[in-house]
Amino acid sequence: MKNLLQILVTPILQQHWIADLLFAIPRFICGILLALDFGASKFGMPWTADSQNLKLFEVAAWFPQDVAEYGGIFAAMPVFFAWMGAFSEAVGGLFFAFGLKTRVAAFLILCTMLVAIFLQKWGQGTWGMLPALGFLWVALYHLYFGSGRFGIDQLISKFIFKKHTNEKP
Amino acid sequence: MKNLKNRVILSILLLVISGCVQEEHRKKVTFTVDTNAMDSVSEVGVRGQFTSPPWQVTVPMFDKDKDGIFEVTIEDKTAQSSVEFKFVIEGDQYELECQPNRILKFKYQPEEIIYSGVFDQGDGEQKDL
Repeated sequence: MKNLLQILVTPILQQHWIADLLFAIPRFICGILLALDFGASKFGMPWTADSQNLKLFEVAAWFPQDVAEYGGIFAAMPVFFAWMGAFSEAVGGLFFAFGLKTRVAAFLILCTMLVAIFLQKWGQGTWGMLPALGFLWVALYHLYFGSGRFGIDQLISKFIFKKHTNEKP
Repeated sequence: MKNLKNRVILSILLLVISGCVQEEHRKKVTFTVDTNAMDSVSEVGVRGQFTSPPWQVTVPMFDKDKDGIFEVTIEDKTAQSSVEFKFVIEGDQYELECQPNRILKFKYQPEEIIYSGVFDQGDGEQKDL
């Protein structure tokens, strides 16, 4: 279990810190956008606007109805998938921004964005799909790299697991 | 044994998640619009975010006592804190062109509301019953 956690957390570092910084900037912006805007509009977070009437970790009433319209397994368990999608954006986005459990957060965001692209935004053309596509690409390469130098995972890896992270050859 | 444990955990997770959906409350809204300043209006309605698809469907309003004031009552469940709308005539001719939409504000509880407005004049009045 500890080994699995270690593999999930330990980032792959680039040769130069500037490369890590260039990866971290879009990760931070995307994570914050997901947590503060896209996620908080449908999931109760401490910073969700009062006008939304959402309690902590509560999913907006309209979202499961939206998810049920995707059909198939989504129609069978709309509340579960709506909650997971909203959680991935609001909480996963926050973890993603600060590089904590980056690969787990990236995986959750990746799945959510694939559903959003193919089942929600597909009929709206390329412009409609752009935000989800943007989050998808950023999540995709962080699923492999992890947080890089600029994230909490790097600190966990260095000070808790006492492991020297692998620099990319 | 391990399978049973996993099933119990999954069931608890599903129960917890299914209880975490925002509660919706019933809203009964009566819209009234005064069209006496307009010349010969035959069809009056309301369009807004509350139809499916939003803004694409006209909810017809009726003037039963022929006093020029059209009325319709809509009931629905929602958790939203506000909803935007405009009155229309002849099916799809919007009032308040290039002006902000009218807004109904909701409390997070069951409500019965009357909204009264004058066609093409922005200041409507919302009253809770």
